[in-house]
Amino acid sequence: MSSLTTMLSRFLSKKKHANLCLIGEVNTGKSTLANKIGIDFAGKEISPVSEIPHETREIAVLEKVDFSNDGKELELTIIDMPGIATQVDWREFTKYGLNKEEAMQRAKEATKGIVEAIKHLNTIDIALVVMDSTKVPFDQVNLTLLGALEMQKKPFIIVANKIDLPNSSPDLIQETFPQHKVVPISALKGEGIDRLYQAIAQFAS
Amino acid sequence: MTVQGVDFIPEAILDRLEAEARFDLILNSVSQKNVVVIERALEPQEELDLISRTMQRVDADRFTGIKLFSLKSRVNGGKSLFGRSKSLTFSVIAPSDSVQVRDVGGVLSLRIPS
Ligand SMILES: Nc1nc2c(ncn2[C@@H]2O[C@H](COP(=O)(O)OP(=O)(O)OP(=O)(O)O)[C@@H](O)[C@H]2O)c(=O)[nH]1
Ligand SMILES: [Mg+2]
Repeated sequence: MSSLTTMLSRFLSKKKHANLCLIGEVNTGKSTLANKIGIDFAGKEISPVSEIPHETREIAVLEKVDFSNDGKELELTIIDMPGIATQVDWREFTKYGLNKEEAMQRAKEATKGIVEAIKHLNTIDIALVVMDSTKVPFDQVNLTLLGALEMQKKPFIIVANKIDLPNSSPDLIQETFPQHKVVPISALKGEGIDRLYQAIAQFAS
Repeated sequence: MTVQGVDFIPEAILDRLEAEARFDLILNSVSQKNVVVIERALEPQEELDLISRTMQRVDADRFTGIKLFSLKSRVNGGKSLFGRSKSLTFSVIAPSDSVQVRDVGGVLSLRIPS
């Protein structure tokens, strides 16, 4: 659809439009969550999921997602970003059974994906910063992303994902970022997802 | 793979350079296996730029990226590293494959495996 028609239809439907971007470190469950939201409100998945890091190496987009929660409505464009890392080592991928050539190719695509993700951070209207609650939130990437969002005055929700796992510690994420809203969820099992939808719905008004 | 040395870059030198030259100075040093300490914390946007430029330089065998710490951004960070040290502002950039990083009782500890 041309951008003019998109603009026109957005203008005619009074629903507020927002780009909902999933960002964060690699392998935290961004695509799993993007798919969950896509299925719940548009009946469609967005991105493949994998235990191998850097599964998302190109930005994936799902438009016209009619989000609603408790009578609050938004027209979302869901943008699933490649995970951001400060290092990419092809040898890591060989641990998952990729051969050298495949691993090197994946590494090359992963570095490009990170550059793309950073370049497109300005498309964010609302960010879901997805963190893995089984890991110590020690990595600079989280701080860099949150700092950049604050500087640009972009609204965001910190999602503490994977709370279904026994070693998860969403409280540690909340303690590390006491001034921010942290919503603990399991994107895989759906646990806590209603609280996340309530938090997203706050942006409708 | 072993770290060669440590470069301390004063703020005055860094801020005299254009963005391009500034990131080159940092990444040339890190890709030659030095740890770089900068006399100020990088801004979040500078960190994103640095990550992008790092990714453009990643090379299968010679350079796998960086480990990055900007200690100002950890202020107000509750229990996290240097959480209470409001006056400490510096950034550390290390070659990712040559150091291990640990938080040892609040001290950012870069360990060089032999
Ligand atoms: N136990 C559990 N596993 C999860 C959850 N969410 C995601 N995972 C798993 O974590 C791994 C990574 O999930 P992805 O959704 O691909 O993560 P991502 O953040 O999109 O990863 P990249 O695109 O590589 O950055 C997969 O093995 C998922 O099945 C969760 O809530 N609980
Ligand atoms: Mg993904």
